[in-house]
Amino acid sequence: MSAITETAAPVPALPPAGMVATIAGKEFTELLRDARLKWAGGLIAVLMLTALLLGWQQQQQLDRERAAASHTSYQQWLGQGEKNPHSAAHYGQYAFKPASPLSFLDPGINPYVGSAVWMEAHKQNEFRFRPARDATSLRRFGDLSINFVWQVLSPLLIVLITFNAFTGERERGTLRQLLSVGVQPAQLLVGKMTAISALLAILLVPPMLMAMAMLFFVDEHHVDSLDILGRSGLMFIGYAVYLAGFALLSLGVSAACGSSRKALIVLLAFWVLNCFVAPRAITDVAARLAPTPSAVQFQSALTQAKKANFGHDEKHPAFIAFRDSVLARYGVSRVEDLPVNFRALSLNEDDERGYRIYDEHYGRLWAIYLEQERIRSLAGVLFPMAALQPWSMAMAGTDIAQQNDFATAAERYRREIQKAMAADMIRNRPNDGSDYVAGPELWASIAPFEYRLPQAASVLGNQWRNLLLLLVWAAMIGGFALTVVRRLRPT
Amino acid sequence: MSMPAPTDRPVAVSLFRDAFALERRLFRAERLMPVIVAMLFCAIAYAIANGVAWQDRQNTLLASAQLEERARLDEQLGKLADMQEGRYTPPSAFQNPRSPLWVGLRHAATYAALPPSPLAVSAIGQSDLNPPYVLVSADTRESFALNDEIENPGNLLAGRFDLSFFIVFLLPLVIVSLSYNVLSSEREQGTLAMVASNPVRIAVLMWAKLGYRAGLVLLPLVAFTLLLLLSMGAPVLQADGPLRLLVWLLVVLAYVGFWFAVTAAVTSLGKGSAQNALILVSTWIVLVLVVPTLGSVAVELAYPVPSRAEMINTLREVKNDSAREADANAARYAIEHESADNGGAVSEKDYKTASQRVMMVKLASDRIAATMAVHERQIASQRDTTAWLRFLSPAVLLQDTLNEIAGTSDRRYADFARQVDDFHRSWQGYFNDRVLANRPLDAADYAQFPRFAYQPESAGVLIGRILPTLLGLLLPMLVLVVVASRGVARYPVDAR
Repeated sequence: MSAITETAAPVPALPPAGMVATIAGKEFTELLRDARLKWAGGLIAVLMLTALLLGWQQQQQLDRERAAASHTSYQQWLGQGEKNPHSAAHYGQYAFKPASPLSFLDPGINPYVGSAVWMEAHKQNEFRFRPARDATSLRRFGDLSINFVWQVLSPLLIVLITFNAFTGERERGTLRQLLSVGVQPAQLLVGKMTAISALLAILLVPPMLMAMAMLFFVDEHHVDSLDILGRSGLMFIGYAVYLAGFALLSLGVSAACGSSRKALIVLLAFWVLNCFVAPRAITDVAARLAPTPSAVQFQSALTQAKKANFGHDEKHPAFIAFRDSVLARYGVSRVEDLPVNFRALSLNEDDERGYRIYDEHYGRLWAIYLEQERIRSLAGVLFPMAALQPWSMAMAGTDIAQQNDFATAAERYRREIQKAMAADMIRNRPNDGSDYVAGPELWASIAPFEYRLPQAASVLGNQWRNLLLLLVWAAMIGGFALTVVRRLRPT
Repeated sequence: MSMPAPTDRPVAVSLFRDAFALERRLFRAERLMPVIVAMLFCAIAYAIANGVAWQDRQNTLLASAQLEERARLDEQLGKLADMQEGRYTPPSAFQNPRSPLWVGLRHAATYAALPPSPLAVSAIGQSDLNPPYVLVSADTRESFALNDEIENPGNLLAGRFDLSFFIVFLLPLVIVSLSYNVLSSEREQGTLAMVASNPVRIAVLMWAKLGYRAGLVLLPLVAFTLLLLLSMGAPVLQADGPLRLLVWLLVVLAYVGFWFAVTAAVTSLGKGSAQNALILVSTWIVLVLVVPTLGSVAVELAYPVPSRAEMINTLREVKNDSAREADANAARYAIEHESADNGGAVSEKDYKTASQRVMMVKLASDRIAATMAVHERQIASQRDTTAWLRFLSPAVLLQDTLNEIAGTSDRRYADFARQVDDFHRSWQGYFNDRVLANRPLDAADYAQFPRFAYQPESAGVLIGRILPTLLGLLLPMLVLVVVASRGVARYPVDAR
């Protein structure tokens, strides 16, 4: 095509606002009168309200339980009585992950991740007690939470009210009339899209605002209230892009298909692929490409690596080497002549070496999880739920990265206990082998474990890719819709 | 259409056959058959491949657990031999291979394994949440009973694409998409009036069309499943595998039958194609998503499991109290940190601390069991209620039954846990008796340690439990067939 013909061809003028507004108004009235919308929309509204209240109640209960348990665990730590500090470190404390205030919007991985970890001497433990094990296999069909309504049911509602947006006009013969009076196809698209968006806003914005209002009642001990408001806003942006993309897709397919029936089948097939097939199918692919090690493999690799450490074995070559280096540092020839307690010093050294091993092994395991998540979300270019789901979980603070953030904080706290206990023994324990006990004032020198949800900005650092994927998908779908609508023929 | 035969019944039969043949020609003309067959093949192959890969992982896991246990025991046996030859002096009771306390608690701790059923590849079920083995030691029950296998929680949340997922979730949609318009499209194209002008009942036409589609779904489904299970090396022919496979086929057949009956009933309402599709998809959403989700909420609200966080602290209190009572707190520290000058046997001091530890475990065990029983009773009540609730949705009923057949159901894991508890008691008895009697272990004792072997339930019991499922699928199917037969008799022929 030459430049001349291009300029000669009538470039579709930008849709005059008046025309678009008229179309949008007419569409909106029609949609409101539609029995489909009354039923499906009503059902969705009821489900959203139920999910919102149920989720809030569960989140509050969980948060209370865990806060109480953290308090008890700390009291148990304080009430140990007089004992050797290392013995106290062995007793340790439990860390309970506080329920994220936004988890009532998207519980994410919460049911499938351990809720508590034992912070004891020598060992970085795995989280235990996955809530899903306290439920039946019914749980595996899905949770009744508002994210389920937004991710799965809302796109279906869009499909159901828009699949015949263009095919219906054509079948009734009204498309010919519209085009004959000079309405541009693009104007039709924009008008219809405006009407659907307004309708969705009426249905979805109130529960979102309600959720935001509920956030003002959150206990602020481990969150920044402005930050969680920001998180919820970002979360809703993701849903807006997702649902707008679905509406455009629905309109585009309706314009491209010869009959309402065909449009409906194509859209339903995409909905099933997006919501049910792709998430599972990709999970299997990700598990193949980046396989998770088994607990036995992981633990025996750790045990193997820890053999290089001396632990309590005083005949271990590493122990002897360390002892010699300490003796040399203090310029003495016998352990008894050291001005500090050598056993405590060696415990501390062994712990320090252990930390490096744990960092390496847990780091590798978590890298595998993140790699699996990355592969999973790549599918978001075609199936947007794969990008939306991680985005929503991340904003709710219920994704794997923030679970690991909590695990890291708990491990830091465990190490603080180890260091403080060892430091006390290094200072105070005599080298003559006689026993040494410390009392409650030492236990109280360890502050209670406090965890704060990471700031939204740091979550964005990992998550912008998913939002970008969603935007790219929606833009692609927008392009598709515009292209097919421009080719719209009345028959 | 062929000429009508003289008697009524053969007329229906031959008409049915004709309609069936016509349908085949139509599908051939639209080149739909190869597409559907290829789609079924790909989905089933992918699902079974995932099941096989998962099972391989489970088997590797069990094998590596056994290997790890063997290596641990060999290390102890080596130390024992060295001790006898005078080459090894344990630096502490903990490192003494003759100490019944530490051997029973740590060094000989044994994996109680749940062997996979021959059809395990067909449904991953609850096997991703429950590890197939438990490391049993002489310690208290909470030390092992709730241990998890390492897994990315994101994978647990998403679930897997296995054969049972394909059948429970997707197959109904395949059926719906093939048959939502069996009569309505004829009416919309105006061909139904033409057909009805022939001496053929519309009911016969509908059943023939649905029958043809059922064959189109079932034949490849059964053939591909059998072929792929066998060719991908699933051990379906081992032990009671063939019997399980037979039951599997029966329930899947009944499920497919149920969904065709739903389609027939919706078709008989006489609505348009798009409306049929909407009603059918809504039915799917209600049965596959809404009923299970609401059921899960109802069951958990009716039988809430008390806070695990609180349980953890209670168990710690119980252990503290028991330890204080047995005055073993200081002793445990001494065992791990002070060396004993025993030269091989268990010293007086070690005996004292070891027996105190055993006393503590004995004191704590009953209290711990009582604390944990509160949670387990609630979970058991949830399970029992679910066993009734599942009849509300054929999808839940089938999912549950396929898990049963694959040996990955909640019930089987509960049964495994029960057997492990019995074994744990005998393990504790064996070592605790020796600790209290101050009897050091020798090589002969090592060969006598209790061993766990899972006692599977007989195939008869399993089938007895699955029979109600079959009824739960067939009964609604029959009701729907009756409804459809009555409705279709009044089917509107005119094009709208």
